[in-house]
Amino acid sequence: MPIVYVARRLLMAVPTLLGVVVFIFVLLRVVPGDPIAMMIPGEATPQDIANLRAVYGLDRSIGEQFVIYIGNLLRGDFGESISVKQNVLSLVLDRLPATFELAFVAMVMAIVIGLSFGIIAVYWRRRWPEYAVDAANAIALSLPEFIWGLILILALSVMWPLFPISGRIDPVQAADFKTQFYLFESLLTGRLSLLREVLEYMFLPAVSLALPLAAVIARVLKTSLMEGIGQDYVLLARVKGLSPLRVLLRHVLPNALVSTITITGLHFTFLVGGTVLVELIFSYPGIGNMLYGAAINRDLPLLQGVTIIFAVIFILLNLLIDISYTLVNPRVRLA
Amino acid sequence: MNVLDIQNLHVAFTQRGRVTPVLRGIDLSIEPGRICGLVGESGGGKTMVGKAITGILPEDARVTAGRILFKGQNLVDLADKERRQLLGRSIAMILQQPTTALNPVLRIETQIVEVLQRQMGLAHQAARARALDLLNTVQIRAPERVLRQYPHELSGGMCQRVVIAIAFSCQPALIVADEPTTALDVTVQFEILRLLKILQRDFGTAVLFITHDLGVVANLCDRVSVIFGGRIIEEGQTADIFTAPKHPYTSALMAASPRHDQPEKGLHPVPAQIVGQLWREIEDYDRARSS
Repeated sequence: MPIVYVARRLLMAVPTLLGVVVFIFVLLRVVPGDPIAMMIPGEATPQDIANLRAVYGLDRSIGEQFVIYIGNLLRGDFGESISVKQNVLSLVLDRLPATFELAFVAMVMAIVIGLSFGIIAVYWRRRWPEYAVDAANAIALSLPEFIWGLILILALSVMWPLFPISGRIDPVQAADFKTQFYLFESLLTGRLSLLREVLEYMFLPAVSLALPLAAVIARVLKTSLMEGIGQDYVLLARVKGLSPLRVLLRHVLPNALVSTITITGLHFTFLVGGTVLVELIFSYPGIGNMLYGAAINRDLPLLQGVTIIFAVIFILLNLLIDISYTLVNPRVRLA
Repeated sequence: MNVLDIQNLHVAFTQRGRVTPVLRGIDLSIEPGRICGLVGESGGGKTMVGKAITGILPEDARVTAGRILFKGQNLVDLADKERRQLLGRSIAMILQQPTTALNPVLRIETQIVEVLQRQMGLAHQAARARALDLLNTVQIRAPERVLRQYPHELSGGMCQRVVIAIAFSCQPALIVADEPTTALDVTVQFEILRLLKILQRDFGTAVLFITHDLGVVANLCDRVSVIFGGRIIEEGQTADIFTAPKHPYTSALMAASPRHDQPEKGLHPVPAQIVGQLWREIEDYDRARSS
C-alpha cells in the first residue's frame, strides 16, 4: 500500500534528520568563526562579549547547548536568528515558497527539455538532430549552474535586456500578493499579466538551474532509448505495423524512463543544492540566498534551521523520485 | 500464387565501411497455408531471413540484392508506410524469447489491442472483446485476468501464447516463427507446437518455421530448407529430405541430433571436413561476387 510505504519512508527519515541535526550542530561549533564577534561594535568590553554569549547560550558546553537545542526543536522551536533577531522558523517558512517555486519551475523545464531532446536525438538518430543534441548536451554539462546564471545575465539582461536581472518581482507589485506563492497565486487567481511578470523574473534563474539537469536527463534518456530500440519487444511492436513514433513513445520510452529516473534521480537533489548560488547571483529572495547570508554572519540558529529544511526537502524529493519510479515500472511494487 | 517468394536475397552488414555478407542469394517459397521449415545451425543466417521479411533487420544491415515477394509484391523496395500496412495485418512474427517479446511495462491488453486498433480499425471496446476471444483461442484460462496482467506475472509458456495470439490477431497470410519453442521447456514446447499447428490449419496461415530442431521440423513442416553460411544448400519435401538427404551436410546435421530411442548411437558432431568444404565454397562465392 502506498500510504503505508510513504509512512514507513517518512519514519525512516527521522534518524537521517537527526544525523543532519547533530552533524550541522557540531560542525558549526568546531569551525572557526564566532557569531558574537560578527555583531559587536569595536568598543565592546570583554564583559559585554561574555554577557552576549550568555544571552545566546554560547557559554555552555557543546553537549549542553545541543540538549537545549534538540529540546527546543522537538517543541517546534528553531530558535531566534542572531543577525535578524526573528524567529528562525517563520523566517524560513516566509522564504521557502520562493525557493520552492523556483526549483519547481526549473525541474519542469529540465524534464521537458531533457525528455524532448533525448527523444528527438533518438527519433532522428544518425542525422543532424542527434549531433545537435549531443553538442548542446556537452555545452550544457560543461558549465555549472552559477556560471550559466552569469552568462545568461550578461546575454539576456545586459547586452540584450529581455529579462530582469534580479529579484522575484517588482517590489511595488509584491503588495498585490496575499501569500508568498507568487507563481501559484497569480495562476490560481487568473491574474495573467502578473503571472507573466513572475515568470519573467523567474526565467533566467530557472534556466540556469535547469540546463545542467536537462543535459543529464537528455543524455541518460538517449542512451536508454538507444538500448531499448534493439529489444525484442520493440521488434515485435514494429512487426505490428505501428508507426516509428508510436513505437518510440509507447514501447521504448516507458522502459527507458525506468533507468532514466534511477540514474537522474540524484541530480534532482543537486538542483535544489544549486539554488543556493543561483539565488545569490540573481538576488532571488529564497532560502538559498538566506543560507548564504546566515553563513556570512555566522548566524548559527538560522544556518541550522535552513540546513534542516534543506535536509527535509532532500528526503521528500527522494521519496517522490522513488514513488515516480514505481509508477513507470510495474515490476516494482511499493513495499 | 505463393504467399512468399524469396529470390536471390542478399543481406550484408556494413560496419565502418566494411561489408560483411550474411545472406548469399537465398531462394525460398511458401505456398498458402503451408509450413516451411528453415533449418540451420547458429550463425547460419536463418534469423536474418525472418528479419529481412518483416523489415526489422539491424540498423547496420540491409538488403543488397534480390527480392522478397509477398503475394507478388516486392517487400524490399516497398515504402515504410506501405510495409507497415502489411505488417501485423498480413505478415506477423513470433519470436524466440516469449518473456522478452512482450513489453514489460504494458499490460497484456494494451499489447493485443493496439494491433487490432491499428490494423483492423477496431474501436477500443471491440478490440478488447476480440482480444478476449483470441486469448480463449490460444487456450489461456482466465483471459479476463490475463488481460489486466503484466508479462512478468505470466509464465514463459503463457507469454508465448499471448505472442501467438498477437500474431494470429489479424489472421495474417504469413507468420514468421523464429525458434518459437526453443526457450520453453519440453512439455510446454509440445503444447505450443500443437497450438501453432491447430491455429495455422484453422486460419489457413502459411508459416516460415525457423529452427535448429530437426525433430520439430519432421513433425510440423511440409517442406524444409537447410541453410548454411547464408545459403540454402538443400530444399525439398520434409519426407524426402529426412529419408534421402542429398547434401552431406544435411545428413550430418541429422546424425548430429541426439535420438532418445537410440542412445547407443551416441553424439556425432558435424564432421569438420564437411563444414570446411562448405566454407571454402562460400569464400569462392564471395570472391566471385566481389570481383
